[in-house]
Amino acid sequence: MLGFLKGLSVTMGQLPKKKVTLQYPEVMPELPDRFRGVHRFIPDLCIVCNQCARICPTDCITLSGTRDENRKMHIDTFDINFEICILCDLCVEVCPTDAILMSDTFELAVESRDHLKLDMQWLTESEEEYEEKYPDRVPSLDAVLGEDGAEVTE
Amino acid sequence: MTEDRTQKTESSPPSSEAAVMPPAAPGMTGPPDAASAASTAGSTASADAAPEKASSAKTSAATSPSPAKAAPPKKAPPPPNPWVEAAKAKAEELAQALASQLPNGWLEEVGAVHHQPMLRVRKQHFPAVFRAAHALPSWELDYLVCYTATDYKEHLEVVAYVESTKFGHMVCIKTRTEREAASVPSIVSVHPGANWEEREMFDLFGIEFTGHPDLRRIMMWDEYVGHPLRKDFVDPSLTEEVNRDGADS
Amino acid sequence: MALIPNGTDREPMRSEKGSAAAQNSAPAAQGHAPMPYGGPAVDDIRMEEMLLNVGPQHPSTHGVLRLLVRARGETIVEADPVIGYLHRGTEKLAENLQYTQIIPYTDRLDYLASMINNYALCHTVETAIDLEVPERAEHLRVLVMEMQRIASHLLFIGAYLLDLGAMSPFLYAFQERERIVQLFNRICGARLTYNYMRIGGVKYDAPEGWLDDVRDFVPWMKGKLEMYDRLITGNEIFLNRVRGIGVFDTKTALAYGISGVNLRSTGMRWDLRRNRPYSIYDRFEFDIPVGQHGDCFDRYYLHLLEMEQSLRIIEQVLAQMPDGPVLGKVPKIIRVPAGEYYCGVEGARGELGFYIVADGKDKPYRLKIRKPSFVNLQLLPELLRGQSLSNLIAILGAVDIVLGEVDA
Ligand code: SF4
Ligand code: SF4
Repeated sequence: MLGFLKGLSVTMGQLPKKKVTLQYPEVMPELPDRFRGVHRFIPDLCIVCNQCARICPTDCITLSGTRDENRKMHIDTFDINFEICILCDLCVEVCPTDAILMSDTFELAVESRDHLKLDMQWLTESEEEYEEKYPDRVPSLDAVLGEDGAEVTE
Repeated sequence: MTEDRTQKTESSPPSSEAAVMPPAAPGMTGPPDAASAASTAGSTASADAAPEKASSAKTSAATSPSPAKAAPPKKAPPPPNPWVEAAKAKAEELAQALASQLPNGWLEEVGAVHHQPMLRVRKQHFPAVFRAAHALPSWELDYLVCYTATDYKEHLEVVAYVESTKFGHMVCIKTRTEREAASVPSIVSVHPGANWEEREMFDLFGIEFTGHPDLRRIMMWDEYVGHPLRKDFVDPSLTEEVNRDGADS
Repeated sequence: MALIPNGTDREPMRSEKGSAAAQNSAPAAQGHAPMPYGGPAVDDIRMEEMLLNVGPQHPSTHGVLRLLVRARGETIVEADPVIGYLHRGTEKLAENLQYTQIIPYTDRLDYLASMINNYALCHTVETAIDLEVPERAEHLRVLVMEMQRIASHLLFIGAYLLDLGAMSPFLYAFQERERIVQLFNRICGARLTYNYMRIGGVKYDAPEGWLDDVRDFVPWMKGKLEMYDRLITGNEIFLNRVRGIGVFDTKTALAYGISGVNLRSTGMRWDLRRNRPYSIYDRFEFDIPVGQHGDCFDRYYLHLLEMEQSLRIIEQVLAQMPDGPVLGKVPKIIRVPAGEYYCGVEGARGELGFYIVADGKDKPYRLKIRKPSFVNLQLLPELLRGQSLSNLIAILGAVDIVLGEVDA
């Protein structure tokens, strides 16, 4: 009986303590900057090197680009199939220009599977949202472009 | 008990376990050729780093006695790795110890798999080898570590790593079977823990384990046709018309 | 029905073999004691064998394990685990993936101990290609692996107690685990599928202040372990449920290839961190607690004791943590020289091993995962035979399986 009462005292001891749960939809969890949520994409940075599509273990990235008159590649379409993306972060890791990154969106419930085929527009919006939310976490685009513009040639 | 065993390992010839320890270890306890090779490796490459490395026992660091030129190469492709040589010597030793208890022609190959001794045996004698190795004094390979098969296109190979919890040896025992009507005698009578692994191989490789008490598919359902881990396997859902969005998805 | 294809009869006990066994065991029913409350005499009761289906959606089977139990009255005559509901063919998938690409898949094996899975694969590949891992990376790896072990053991204790009907330890366990998960979230950006390790090191260095937070975590967790001890270990109801059931001895365990806590609970001091030293575990001082009776209580208690040892290791790692890079010199495309490699590490549930057959390409020719849960689960039918039905969940829970790993 003693052990039982001892255990009960632990339970009683919890009573005055603060709640540890989060009122989730109202209160959002705080997520670290490394958090791997749904991707965000910065089309201006992408050099269409196809590395992200190649490393993706589930083959869920499809992209296409064209060469403009300055012989620079521009991205035309960039789709991620979120039905099969496993949020492994490998695409972000290999991207030489950090054009593809991850946001903190983790809510992936949708009403139809088609909504999980995310295109460039969605991903770009995701980037904008992220920038708005965490202005301190994203370097200004101009700074990045300025550096890479000189650097990034084919 | 751990302490006991560690000491035993040190006094016995380098086990597979010792083989993943730094070069300093076989230099002290290993057979002469391995010892000389290891010490050469130590003097050329890692002499200065040896003391710290010895304590770190980092496998990758330890298993790279790359510039070991002294050891007489038994195999054509260089470099002759002292660990491999030691493992081969050990495999020979085990083969000799086992030979008296097994009928002629049981052994097909003696060698090393990475840094572990390897015996490839005739499949008829597969369970007998395990039984003998289990009972063999000063070996007592009593623990089945890893048991699986590989499809090498021309044949299937069944691989088992057995370990001695008492002496710390780890040995790889293999056998081969043809791909058509593949069958291997079951080792469940020696290692009951092989039961599900054999069922898995039966399921995914289509190897019939004769003498298995309860051979049926384990991962796939019973009506499933085909053996997915074979190299020539083609997923039927990729060729047939399958209604992916239908009720059965 | 997606899980059980139409027309499937996965009920092996209905086969002729099963019914033959049933006839053989029929006389056993005669041995029942008369009921205490003066009901009909045992001989008058129609003692029929009953086929009971437990799972696959049963909450106490920790995932999609299905148990077919043949029971005679309250006694289990035979139990047959039916697995494969979560089979994703990881081994086949891996044959078409580069070594780095396999790492995220290992997260999904034993999803309660992803870090250790990550490590087991990376370690095998590193062994195969003779790659040196920087010191700091190695320390970080050990650090996260031990934290992972604690998180996994915590979940075991919580879930086990929940199986036995105690609600609050489950909630506490999640509370404690949450702190570890948050720490992991900060270092690698995910809460469950970490994908943190890389061949040749780890993906990220610890963020600012992270190591200090781990340092704070250790004494806090020690206090919590004491709390668990007080809360659970002495509880008479719990003790009556778990003492002396699910007993097996070292010999059986070795014959069945059992590893991890299940093996140690029988008194065998067998821990790969000691017996086949890998990484930098030989630099740390820690004990390997072992049980005495090999029963469910020992298994529960060992989990508690092992957490304590993990905390000890964490303390030492923190004290020694060197500076430096966290990723070694790794070729851009990792090609493993032709050969076969096997490395086993001490996972949270036993020996987790990767066996790689390489053919010199950037993808494995064959990859086999030595899954501790899968091997350990084989013993379950033996443990359940002759037990009362009410012990089923207690015994199953203590074997501590994760179905993601069993089915791989
Ligand atoms: S996160 Fe992984 S799975 Fe998802 S798109 Fe990137 S590489 Fe592919
Ligand atoms: S890796 Fe980066 S730059 Fe290359 S195609 Fe993908 S997103 Fe564009």
